Amino acid sequence: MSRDGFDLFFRQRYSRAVLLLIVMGASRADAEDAVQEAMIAAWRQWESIREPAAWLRTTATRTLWKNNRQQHAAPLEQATPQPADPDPDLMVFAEEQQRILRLLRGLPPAQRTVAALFYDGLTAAEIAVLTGKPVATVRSHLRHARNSLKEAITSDSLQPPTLDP
Amino acid sequence: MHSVNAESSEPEFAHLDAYIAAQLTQARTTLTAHIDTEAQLRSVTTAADATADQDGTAAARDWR
Repeated sequence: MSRDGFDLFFRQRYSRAVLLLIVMGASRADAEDAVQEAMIAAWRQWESIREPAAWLRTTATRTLWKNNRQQHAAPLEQATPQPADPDPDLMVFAEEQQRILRLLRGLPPAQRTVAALFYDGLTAAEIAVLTGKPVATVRSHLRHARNSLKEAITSDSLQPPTLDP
Repeated sequence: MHSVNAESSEPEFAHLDAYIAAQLTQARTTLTAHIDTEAQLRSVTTAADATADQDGTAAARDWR
């Protein structure tokens, strides 16, 4: 089986996909399991995948949701993680990175999913396709998420100077 | 992560989006430094080869 370009794709996309799933509320272990499962599927279908980045994002996300439904009573896309303090899944990150990740992971589930995909570079229309929700609903979730994030960041004593020009 | 797409980026959230995108970019760099990507790549390709071999063996058995 030819896998020209797969190694480079893996090196460029593996960590990014894991981080996307962590932002969605997954533990690092669950995120890595889902991305590895998606990468195995990608390797096996490599020659027929036209847009590998989009394919990986969709497959890894759906794999995470599927695995989560099999392992937990409350599906990840409906549950808000209650991270320990400090959250062991975030300890590898610098303090400010942890703060932003905690804020994103603490959003209500639908907003969290939309925000994670939006900050991974997807448009509202693309998020609607991936999640199966109307574009208007996606835009509404995104607006609520950004309002919550903005309020949380600007009310924090560690607020970044660039946020309120 | 992550250049936020222009279509959904609204002026009132421009600073927020840029700040979060920058933090997530740094987080991705941090994560990359803590993951042995080459080991993960070997693990994935080995697992994919193993399942392909199993499929081939099963197919040959079914054909017989």
